[in-house]
Amino acid sequence: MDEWDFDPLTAAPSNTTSGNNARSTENWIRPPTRGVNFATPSATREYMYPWTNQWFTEGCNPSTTYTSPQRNDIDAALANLFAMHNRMHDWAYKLGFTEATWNAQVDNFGNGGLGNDPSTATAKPARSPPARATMPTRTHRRTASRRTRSTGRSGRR
Amino acid sequence: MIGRYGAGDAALEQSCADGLTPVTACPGNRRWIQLVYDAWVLMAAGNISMLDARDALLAADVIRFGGANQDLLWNVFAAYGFGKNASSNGSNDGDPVPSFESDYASNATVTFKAVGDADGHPAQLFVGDYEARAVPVADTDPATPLSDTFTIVPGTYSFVARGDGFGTARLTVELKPRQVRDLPVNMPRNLASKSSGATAAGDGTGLDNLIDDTEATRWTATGVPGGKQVTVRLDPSLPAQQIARVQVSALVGPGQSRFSALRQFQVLTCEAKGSVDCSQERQFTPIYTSPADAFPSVARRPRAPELIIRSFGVPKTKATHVRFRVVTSQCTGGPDYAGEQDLDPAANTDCATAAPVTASQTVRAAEFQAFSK
Repeated sequence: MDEWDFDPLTAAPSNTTSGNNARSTENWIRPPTRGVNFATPSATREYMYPWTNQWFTEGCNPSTTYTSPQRNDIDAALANLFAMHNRMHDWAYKLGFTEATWNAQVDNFGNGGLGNDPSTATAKPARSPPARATMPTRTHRRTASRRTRSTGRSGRR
Repeated sequence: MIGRYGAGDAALEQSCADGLTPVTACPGNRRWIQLVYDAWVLMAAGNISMLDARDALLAADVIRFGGANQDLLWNVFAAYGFGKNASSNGSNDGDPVPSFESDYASNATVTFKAVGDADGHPAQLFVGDYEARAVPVADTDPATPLSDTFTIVPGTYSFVARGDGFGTARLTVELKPRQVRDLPVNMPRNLASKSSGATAAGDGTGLDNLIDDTEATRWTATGVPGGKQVTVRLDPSLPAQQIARVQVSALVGPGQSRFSALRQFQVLTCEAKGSVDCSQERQFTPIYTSPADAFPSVARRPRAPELIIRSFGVPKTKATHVRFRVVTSQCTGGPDYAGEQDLDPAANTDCATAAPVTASQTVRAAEFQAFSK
């Protein structure tokens, strides 16, 4: 439980925002890229991506942020999302939200419940479907949503 | 819980969070969040009312700590209306019955009395700041099953009272343990109430909702908000009456745009006398213009605490007709909602020009009340 980026299926570190408890990806374009684009990998497992508050400082302008080298702080956002999901997983585990009480993990290590249901979350998800057909391909905004589903199924966002 | 079990220190909190120290030896905050988690597990069935959630937390305390904290939990629940006699009809009850009584407290016993002009007339009392879509805790109407007396855990409470013909009155009172007392609420005559013989004419729809002594209903006018108006004819069987104060509510209803709520208004009056029949615009005199932020909502959006009824003193004026005129809505008058808010070409964010007409070309107000003092 201590190594958040450890993938039990490969028995090796993922080197990105993927692990037994959570998978955090961006979801910028249509059709949705959910579950595909993790944070920029780190061979040394140091996930200290710079946070520049670019979205705010550039007035929520999609045409100067998403395609810039800083990519709208996406790596920092994903690392934060990933860390918070893991932090909540570990915190709730000690309160009683374990495998046997249907928590969210890929591998339940034989401790009960159903596996294959990590917290899957997307940073800056796109509007889907777009509010207007004339919107540019990137219609993403700072939105968030989450669904709670039964054990064995990940909440999609 | 921290008052009872302490706040611990960083080392103890870490040990508790890591599960190394049992929760029965942990500081109050850890015990509290354990109860919250245990209650969630007890509510796994869904279709849970707020009172079911209360019961789950109380049951969690019995299971986890042998009921050691029933007094703390019940007393706080009761102070928020979740007391021993509270009830609701399932999980979707819009009118659950409040109770402020706890078996673990030295409750106060309070008798609501409407005094002043409302003495002897039906009036309702609500705990808190809201009467719209809320359930009264007491009333003075012998025709209803509700008593004028209620039991409540000690503390400092805000109350709001309303009565047909008497508008809305607010007060804050400290209630002491075992205190048995009257709660007199001065409720002067609302001259602009339909229950006081007044009638409303003018723009929009639901004009009577502006003069029905409750924020639960509202007047709506569509088109450019500025200049929309309603003229209240005071009781025509009486001579001109003095206006010294008005109360106005900008509270919108469920599903209605908050940005359509009133922000600034003006009061004009006319005294019908001789050839002046108050049918002409020029016969009305502006006596009061509210502050630009009479209902002072800010970013990100208007909220109910800023929109509920407020009192405004006006120059003492004799009148047979009182005109309520919109200057701005939140959308057209709120500085935080004016102008382009970002550099996103896909989203226009100036409220007055880019919002849907339900927000930008609509204005609402729930009450316009007038008093002689």
